[in-house]
Amino acid sequence: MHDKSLINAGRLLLKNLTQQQHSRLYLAVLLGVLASIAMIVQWYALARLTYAVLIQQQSLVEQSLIIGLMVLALILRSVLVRAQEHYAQLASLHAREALRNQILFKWRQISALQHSQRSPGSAASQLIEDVEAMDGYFARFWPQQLLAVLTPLIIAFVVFYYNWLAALFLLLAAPLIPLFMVLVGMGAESINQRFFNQRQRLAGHFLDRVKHLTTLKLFAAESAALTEVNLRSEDYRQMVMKTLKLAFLSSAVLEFFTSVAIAAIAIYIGFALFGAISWGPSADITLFSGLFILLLAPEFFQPLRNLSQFYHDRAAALAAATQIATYLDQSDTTKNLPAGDISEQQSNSALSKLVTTDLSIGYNANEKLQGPLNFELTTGLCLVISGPSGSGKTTLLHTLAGYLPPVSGELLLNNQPITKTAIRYLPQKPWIINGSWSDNLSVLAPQATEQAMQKALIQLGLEPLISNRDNGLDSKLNEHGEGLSGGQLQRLALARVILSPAPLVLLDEPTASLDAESRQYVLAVLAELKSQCILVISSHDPEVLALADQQLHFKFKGADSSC
Amino acid sequence: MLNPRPNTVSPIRFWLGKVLEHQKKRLLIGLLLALLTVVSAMGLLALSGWLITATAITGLAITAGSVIMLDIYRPGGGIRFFALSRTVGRYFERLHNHDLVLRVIAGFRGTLFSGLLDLPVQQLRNTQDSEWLSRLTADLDNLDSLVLRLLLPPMTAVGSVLLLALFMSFFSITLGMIFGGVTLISGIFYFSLLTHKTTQICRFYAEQINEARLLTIEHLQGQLELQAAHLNEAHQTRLVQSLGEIGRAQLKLNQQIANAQLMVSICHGLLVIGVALAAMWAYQNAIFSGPVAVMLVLAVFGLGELLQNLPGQLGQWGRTRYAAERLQPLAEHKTTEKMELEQLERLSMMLADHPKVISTIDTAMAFELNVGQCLLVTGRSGSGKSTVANILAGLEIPDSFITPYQLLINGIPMRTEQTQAWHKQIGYLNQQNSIIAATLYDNLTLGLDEVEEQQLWQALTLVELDDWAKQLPKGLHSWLGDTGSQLSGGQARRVCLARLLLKESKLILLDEPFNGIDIEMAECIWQRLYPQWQDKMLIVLMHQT
Repeated sequence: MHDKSLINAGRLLLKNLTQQQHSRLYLAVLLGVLASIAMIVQWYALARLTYAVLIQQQSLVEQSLIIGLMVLALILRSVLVRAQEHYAQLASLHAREALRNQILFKWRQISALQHSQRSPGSAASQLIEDVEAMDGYFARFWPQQLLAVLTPLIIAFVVFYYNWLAALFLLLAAPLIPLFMVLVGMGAESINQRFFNQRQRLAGHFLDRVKHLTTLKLFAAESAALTEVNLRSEDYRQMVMKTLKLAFLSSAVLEFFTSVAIAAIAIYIGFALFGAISWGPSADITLFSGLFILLLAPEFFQPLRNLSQFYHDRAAALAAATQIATYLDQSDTTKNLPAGDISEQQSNSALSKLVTTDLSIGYNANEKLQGPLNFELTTGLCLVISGPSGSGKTTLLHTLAGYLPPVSGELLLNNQPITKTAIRYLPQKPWIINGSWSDNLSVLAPQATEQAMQKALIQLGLEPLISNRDNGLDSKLNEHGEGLSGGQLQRLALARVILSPAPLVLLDEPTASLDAESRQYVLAVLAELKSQCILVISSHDPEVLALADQQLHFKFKGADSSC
Repeated sequence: MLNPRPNTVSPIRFWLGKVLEHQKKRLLIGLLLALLTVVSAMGLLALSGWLITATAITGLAITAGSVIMLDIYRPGGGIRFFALSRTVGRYFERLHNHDLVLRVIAGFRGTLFSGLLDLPVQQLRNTQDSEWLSRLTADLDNLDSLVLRLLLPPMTAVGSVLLLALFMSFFSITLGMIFGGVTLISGIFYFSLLTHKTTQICRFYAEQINEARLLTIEHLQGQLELQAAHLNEAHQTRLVQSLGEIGRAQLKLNQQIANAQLMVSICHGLLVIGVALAAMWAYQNAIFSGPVAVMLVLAVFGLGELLQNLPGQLGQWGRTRYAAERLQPLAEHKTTEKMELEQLERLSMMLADHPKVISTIDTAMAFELNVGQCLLVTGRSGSGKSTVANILAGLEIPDSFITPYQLLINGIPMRTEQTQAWHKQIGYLNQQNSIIAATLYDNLTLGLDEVEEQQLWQALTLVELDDWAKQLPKGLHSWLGDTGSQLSGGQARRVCLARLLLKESKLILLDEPFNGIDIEMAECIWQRLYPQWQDKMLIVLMHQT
């Protein structure tokens, strides 16, 4: 299902992101190593204390130095671990921020039409939830994969100093664990993939029924649907449990080795202390070294256990990174879109000129919709495009806006490619943001003053809607303009256009589906706007056509028009 | 009246109640298995400590010349037993508890779905919204922390502390009581503080995520206008700010958890030191033997691995609570009154000044219709036809403060409580083709008890789908919807029409019935369908052509 090269792209992305955070991450690892050393000191002191009291029969009061050392080591260890987490979390925060910036940069480079091919919801999930899901990888998994090697090595080294046989035992058990885990884990991974698909299907089924609740109610099929939802969950549970029986073996392996290693070391030390084993280093064992080794044995395996707990962080991050890397690597269809905003806005006193030479338009290079088109427009002139739906009216507007490269021919505004100049585009469905009236105006007309906004609203007959509201311009539009009619929303969008004049204004069906009142306001504003810019409108409205200095009437090309 | 009642039960308790109601026994077994694992882990270390101390002391005594018998094989066997029971315990604990979680989540899903079914249909408009749906899924996913992280681990921790305190009491009641008391009180105090703190942070975090999502979606929806105006980067600055807030909130949450880990680590270390000092003192005062002293210290030491996971698990409290809180009003059983409705004979409607319908008070929309009559409503697209259809079907209720409105059944105004009864009498084809992810058979027989396949084929023939259905891989039992055979818009429309034909209804309400069907086919189907509906009331809404 996942292509190898795609996963590699995901790996590469993760690698680059960690590379940027190397200093923080390595600092975290260093602090983790120091914490391990403090931990060793802590248990050293405990073993010493026990030995002194139980074997050497010294009084507790004499041990204040070793008790002090133990408390100090404890506090130091805890604080070092806290510091380790602090730096790992900071690294994660910055890595995610860097990745989000990469995505946003990509967003600025691709054309608006390419954006519309993805649902905004899933794009938002990628930017927010998917990037958020990588937190565990940087904050936990990455430092831990180093610590899972370093900490056991340090412990083994210390154990080796006191008893090489016990150290050998630990060192033999440790590499076996990852080996077994990989063996079991590989099986579990493919299961996990299947399990993931099943899970998606179950969630999909549930959401499908929720989405169609109205239909279920209209057809009185509620109880049948409820039974079905419950049955599906039950099937899913049975299926998952079958696979989990195998998947959980990997954690059982880890548990088994930890337990057996502790048990074996304890029994070995016990027998050695008893005098039952006398060869090798066994004769030198005391209660101190025996207890010390026993206390260190669980700590030897703990980092590995933590790593296996964080393993799903890695899987989640890799899945997200693969998706994001695929998206970032996509080539752009438009080449000359500026990645940043060009701040200089053309002063509108200058006369602008829009020229097309043998321009052919279409969504695919080999499927031209209309063309060749030749026209020349200067400020004060208006071009109206009409024709049946699907004949290429909106396509021409998209091409003029620079969202779509011409199939052939050339298109210049003031002798420059169109994307060099800020223009205005008003699509059929106006863009309304969740905020106040003034938010909605200033989002596309950042320089507009409050007075100018008032004036524009009066011009479009929207003033009465806010004049009796307490906060005036700052009063909220209802959520996404609900409660306002389509015509009122269209007028609001047009108000932005007249607030921030641009040399070229493109309007897509500005009067379609408007009530009579809205239509009159819109027509009046269009007539006034015409003198200030080059106006290109797609419309069937005879009164809009009356504004035209030039007209284009599109007919269907080719035979694929179906009725 | 339509708003859900204010919550009387706290959200976590509401969902926990659902767990206890159905899974009490399994929860108990899960707890016992978890305790077995922890006790084995502690026992392994404690017994090992006992063994090496006992052998060390005996070994020294033997070297010194005394004759002492020490059975080292039985403790050795005990150690091996604990090593095994810990492994087996962990395996079955995980298996059993995951099974439990799946059962619990299945139960939650069912509860939630039946709660949604209880919602009045006028409130269901959200369910079409993909944002709302994705939040619903996320919330439901977050609820699985409830058992696995919030319920079982603290219960296991409390249980093992109590067992350990009891074990200590065999040797010294004072030590056992002090250990149990100090551990439980400090644990409960600290973790209630943690849950309290994370509740606020998680809420803030979840709100920030929602806000950033909305901003992102707005940003993407505005691309056509923003890119043309070269205002893309400027608009992104607010988004970047909001994303930064997410990061900060998340950092804050993680730091709270890390602080809790710091506290747990220090407290556990102090407990080990405290018990060690007490045990050494007891040894010197001949209350404990040497091996017992070391055994108790190592048992407390073994508690560490259980405790160190608690902050991370309990740190999920806030997020789970937030999800629980949002899902609760949807899942609660609502006792909405249901009222019967007379058999429809005469329908009349009046509507004016609706914000989405182009009609003023002077040009109000009004009609009266009898059985056997047909009404055609036309208008431009965007003029509000679908709104009118939804109002007729009882799916929307106009705001009576703005909109003068009446819907009369046999001259009597229809009430909200009668919506369900109304749906039994009408067949409504709305503009969206509502094909559920199921087989063609299931789609056609939605809500019908017994249907003969013959009838289905008849309906399919009327809408010219019989040939298509015959060539489907599994005929009537082929899967449709997102994961199944892709239907063209026209085919989906015709499936919906066939479904409507099979339903026995008094009023047939068709909104753009032939959307996506070409004119010839539409003509042909209409010629066949119209006679079928002769004796019914028929309302057709179509755009002007």
